[in-house]
Amino acid sequence: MSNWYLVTVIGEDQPGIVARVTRTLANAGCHLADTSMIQMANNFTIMMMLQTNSDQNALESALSAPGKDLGLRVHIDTIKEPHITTPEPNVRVSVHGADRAGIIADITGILAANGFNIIDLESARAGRPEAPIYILHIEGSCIASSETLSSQLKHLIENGIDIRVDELDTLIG
Amino acid sequence: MLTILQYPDERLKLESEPVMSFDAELQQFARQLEKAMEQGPGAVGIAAPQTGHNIRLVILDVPERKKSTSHGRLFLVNPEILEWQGMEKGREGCLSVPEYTGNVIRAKNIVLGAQDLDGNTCQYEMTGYEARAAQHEIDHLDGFLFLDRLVSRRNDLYSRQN
Repeated sequence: MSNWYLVTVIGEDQPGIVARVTRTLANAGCHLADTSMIQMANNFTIMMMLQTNSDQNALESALSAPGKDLGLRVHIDTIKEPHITTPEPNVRVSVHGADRAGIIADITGILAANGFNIIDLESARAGRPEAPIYILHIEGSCIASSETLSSQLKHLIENGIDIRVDELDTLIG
Repeated sequence: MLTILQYPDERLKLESEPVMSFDAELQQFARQLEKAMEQGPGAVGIAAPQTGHNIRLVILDVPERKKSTSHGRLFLVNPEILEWQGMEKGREGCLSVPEYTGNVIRAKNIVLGAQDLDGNTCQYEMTGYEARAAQHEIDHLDGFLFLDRLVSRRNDLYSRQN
């Protein structure tokens, strides 16, 4: 199997999207690698790396039936063969506070300036509609110490956002 | 030379038997297991069943680190967790599961009872990383891997520490 693709599938959420899409791909001889499949409010989003002998046209054609039946939008990118080694996060940043525009931009701007490479970021808007809150978790790799990151994030903490920076000490046993 | 079994080897799922004889054979096996641990990259512990020997013996070797006890290198025979307290999320990997790490919830503080290689009973209070390592290794004795205890990305637990 020589071709690698990153396939993105998005549509209105309903039961059975994952089963139908992945069955279609399995029947078409595709081999899935890492994926991310998650509900976002009333939408469902899929991103998956896959390996196949087929070309992009054949892949598009295979996905056209489930796409049409389930109202899904499909996007396919060609990618390089991924490394099997899992990137190892060594820092976690946990954030929560009253929602406002720009929280992620403010925090990740400071992280990026410190060479922080984000491996995984997930966030949610929650709370009552009249008083929304924002919750954000970031894991990544960074050479700068957690103390350095904390001190640089301090002015955001002083402005009412709770931010905790933890070093991740992976145990191998 | 012992070989580390790698998942999905079914032998990793077996429950191990208690050690009854504290003899020269046990001592010799413990030394071989120690060598196997030392050859694992950055391992802070190993359990006998990781080498296909289903006996209740683990080695822990957690160096000094923040927020953790460290009792140095311990040979724990028939270990048992007697008390648990608190919960904490941490990232784990395993010599038997190469190229993957994930988050697992473990008790933050434990009291551990065990015997040494001569059969003497001992007890240890462990906190943080060392307590986590002990729970990870004792899981091997019951046929569990950290893969059995992974917490989902969205619904995990972030404890408040202040």
